[in-house]
Amino acid sequence: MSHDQEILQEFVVECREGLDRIDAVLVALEAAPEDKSRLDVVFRILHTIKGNAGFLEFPKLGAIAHAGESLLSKLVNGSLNVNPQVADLLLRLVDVIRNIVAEVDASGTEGDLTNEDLIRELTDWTTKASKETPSDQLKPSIVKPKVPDSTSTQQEPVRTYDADVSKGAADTKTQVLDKSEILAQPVTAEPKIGQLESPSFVEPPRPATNTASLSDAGSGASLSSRVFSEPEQSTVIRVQIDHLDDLMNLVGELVLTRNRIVQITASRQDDELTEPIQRLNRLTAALQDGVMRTRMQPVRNAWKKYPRIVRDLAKQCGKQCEIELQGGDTELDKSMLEAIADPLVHLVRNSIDHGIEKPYLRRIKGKPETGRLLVRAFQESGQVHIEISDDGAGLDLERIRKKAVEVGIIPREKELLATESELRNSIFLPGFTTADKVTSLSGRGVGMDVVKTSIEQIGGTIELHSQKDLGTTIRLTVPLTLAIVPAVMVACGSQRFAIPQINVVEMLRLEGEERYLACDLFYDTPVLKLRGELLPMADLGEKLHIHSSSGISIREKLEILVLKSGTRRFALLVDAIGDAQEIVVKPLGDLLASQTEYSGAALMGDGSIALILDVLGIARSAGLLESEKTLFHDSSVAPVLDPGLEQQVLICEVDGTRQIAIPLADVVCLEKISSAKIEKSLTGEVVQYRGEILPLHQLSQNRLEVSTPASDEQFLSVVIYRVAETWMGLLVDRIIDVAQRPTDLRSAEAIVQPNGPATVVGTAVVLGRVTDFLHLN
Amino acid sequence: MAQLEKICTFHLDGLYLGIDVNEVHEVLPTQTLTPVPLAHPIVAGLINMRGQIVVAIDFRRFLRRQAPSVDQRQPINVIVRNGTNCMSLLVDDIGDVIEVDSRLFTKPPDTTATETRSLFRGAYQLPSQLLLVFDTLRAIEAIVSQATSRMLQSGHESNPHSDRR
Repeated sequence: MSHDQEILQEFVVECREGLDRIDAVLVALEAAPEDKSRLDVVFRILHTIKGNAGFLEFPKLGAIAHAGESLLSKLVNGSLNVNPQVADLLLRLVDVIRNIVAEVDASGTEGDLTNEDLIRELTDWTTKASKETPSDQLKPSIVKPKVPDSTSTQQEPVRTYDADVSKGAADTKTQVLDKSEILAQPVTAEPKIGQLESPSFVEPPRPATNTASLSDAGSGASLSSRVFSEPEQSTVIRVQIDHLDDLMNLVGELVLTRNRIVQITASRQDDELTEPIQRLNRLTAALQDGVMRTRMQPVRNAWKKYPRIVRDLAKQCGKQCEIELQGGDTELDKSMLEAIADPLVHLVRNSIDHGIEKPYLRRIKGKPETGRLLVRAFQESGQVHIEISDDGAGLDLERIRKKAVEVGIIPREKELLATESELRNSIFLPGFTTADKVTSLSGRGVGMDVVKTSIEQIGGTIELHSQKDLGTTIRLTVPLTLAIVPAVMVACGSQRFAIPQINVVEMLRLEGEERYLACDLFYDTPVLKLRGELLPMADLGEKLHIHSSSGISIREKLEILVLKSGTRRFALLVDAIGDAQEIVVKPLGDLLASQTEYSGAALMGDGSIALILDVLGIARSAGLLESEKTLFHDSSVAPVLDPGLEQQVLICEVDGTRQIAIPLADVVCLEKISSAKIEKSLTGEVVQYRGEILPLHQLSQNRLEVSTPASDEQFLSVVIYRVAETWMGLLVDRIIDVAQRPTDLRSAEAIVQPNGPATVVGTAVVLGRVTDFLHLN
Repeated sequence: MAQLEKICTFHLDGLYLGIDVNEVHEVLPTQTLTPVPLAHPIVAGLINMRGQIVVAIDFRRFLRRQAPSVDQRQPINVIVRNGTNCMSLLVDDIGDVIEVDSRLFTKPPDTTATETRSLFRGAYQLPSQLLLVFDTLRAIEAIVSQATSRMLQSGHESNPHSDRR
């Protein structure tokens, strides 16, 4: 990393930390507007940003920070009070700056947006404040010259302002700060020190110390003393995460080397070696623990922005809500924290949008008008649990039932058979939403399934508890770290594999008669009968093509693992179950990125390599998630878009007889749409789909009369596909399967239908029938 | 003035091939290969390179050369890397690092198939035979894209036992 980039990186990090703090302060300030001391903090952060922006030559950022700063100065000196509009304005300012900083981070430039509107609004308020206060002049800069003369060091707000202005000038060369340059002359040299020191301070984890790190901008004695009197300040340093990653890897290797030495010496029985090796053992363990801890971060870091999110959302939905955060000290690995950050935000948003009711409804229900959201984290048995509870409406199971049928998750005829837990779990399926209309917040039906997938990807689980009118609690359970995991070793053929313990429910060994009692076939699907439950079963060796399926009867004993991924459970037959070990997870890299069956590899004590099985991936590739797919689509077509779909096609039937193939890569999803929902527009048939107008195309020669009376309602299969960024729907009679695009495609003379939705590019025999291959226009 | 280039040479199915010595991370003798079931056939397996797990590429198969008979198989690992990927190319035998005169360099002939052409920078006309020099970064890219392509892989899956060694 070049020096410049380093400075830029530093700047971005600092800005982000500052903005997070402003968010928190502003939200708090809105609740208690009289607490002026907090404004100081905001003012100084903005000032630092402005100063640095000038130094790094980001004029737009400088200008906007400057406008904000001017307004803040009015708030600090009391000529303007914090009212909701001002708070809103300031929060918008924070957002704009955040966007610019994001742009700086991404491209190194501040982007093209000028944000003149916001600047104008900020200036308007500033001017208004100036007019309201007779002692002040039109422009803030005119007031300032008085300040150095007035020896107003005792006056906290004014004094701070003075210090900041001088500092801003000291590290700024651009025209942005024309005003402060005039003022700065009396004190130019000193502030530099504060500036130089600031990058080496890390933002301390506890909010109580936030003010201390903010004071880096100050040059006055009182501020400096505040900095250095905070002991935490000097004991924290900022370290590149790469260094820690390297360290972590080295320690991982050290652990392996130790294991190796322990193994060798165990066979030698050399007494002289025993003592130093025990010591080595202890030291390595301590070192491993220590390094792991350096990567740990309090979950609070991911929570910092919640009060702001809650405030904004509640306001937007016309709801009242307060959030309580508990157990922010709970630590987990940085990469883990990053992985759960977005899903958590999504859950918090959901709680407000779907959970908490509007104030009048809450009043009717006899609940306080202000809803409560509790986010709680705690550690238990090597895992971190995070709960998000609200005291809102809870899941409306009847509504879910209705919606689930409507979107086709539950077949109509089974509507009343769905159990409560099935209904609860259906919100985790792709495409599900209970929101009647799509808002900017939610209702698009993508969400909970994404949350679930991302939690499962990091080896975590998600549970949902809900009671009508009492509220909903969602609990995430994630491992402490991704790097070292306890795993069960299994053998298959001549190879060893590791299965993360978090996925293992139980292990069975069946001998003799038991084999036949416990294992059975459901028609042709092998199943394990476990305490009255039927679990789908897969033979690992067969699924990995290590050996061909060996019938149950051939083996004398069966070793079976019952595995879970989220709420799904299945049985995996292996050749032998080995011992449990702590393994260091190593990534497989890009080359094997498409191998979803493995989540990584681990080095064993003897230097050999064991692949780590990804339980979800195995289940998927073994076809054990089939039941879930059918639940969703009423056909065996996978809704999941795997990478590398270019060569796969979706086979459908149109016209009752014609078979067509559509590139799967273009397909967004498959839906059943009620014919009653189809509407007419000038351009043809359309249907409202997830808040958008979806044009429907047909390939049939005998066009279907779609305006059937509602009594005649039927469900039509629609392939929703993407052309550029637009979604379209293609009406088909039946969805048949997904198949490989054959290489020996007979190219047809491209039949161009100028306005038609598709062009035939070739024909081939697929699944025993002549099939037209389409290119979607 | 003649410029000298240092090329790390190796042999593969009768070909004399080379990679710029600066682009060779290291060369390792035959390593234990841990197969990766279901992976693309050009993925020969994983090797343990002093604690780092590296994917070994069946270079013969990638270059669509004949597969050697089992008893001949003592491949040497030529480790190469670009920014993100580190991989081992399995070759029949390693040659010397030689210094070659850049005036002996020629670009691949136009008649070479495009696919092959993009892998090679060109050739040095040595007295005994041609030394084909790889465009290492491009070759790595081609290997990654082939290894991760789903098409061949599925073909592989449908015929699982054809590639077992």
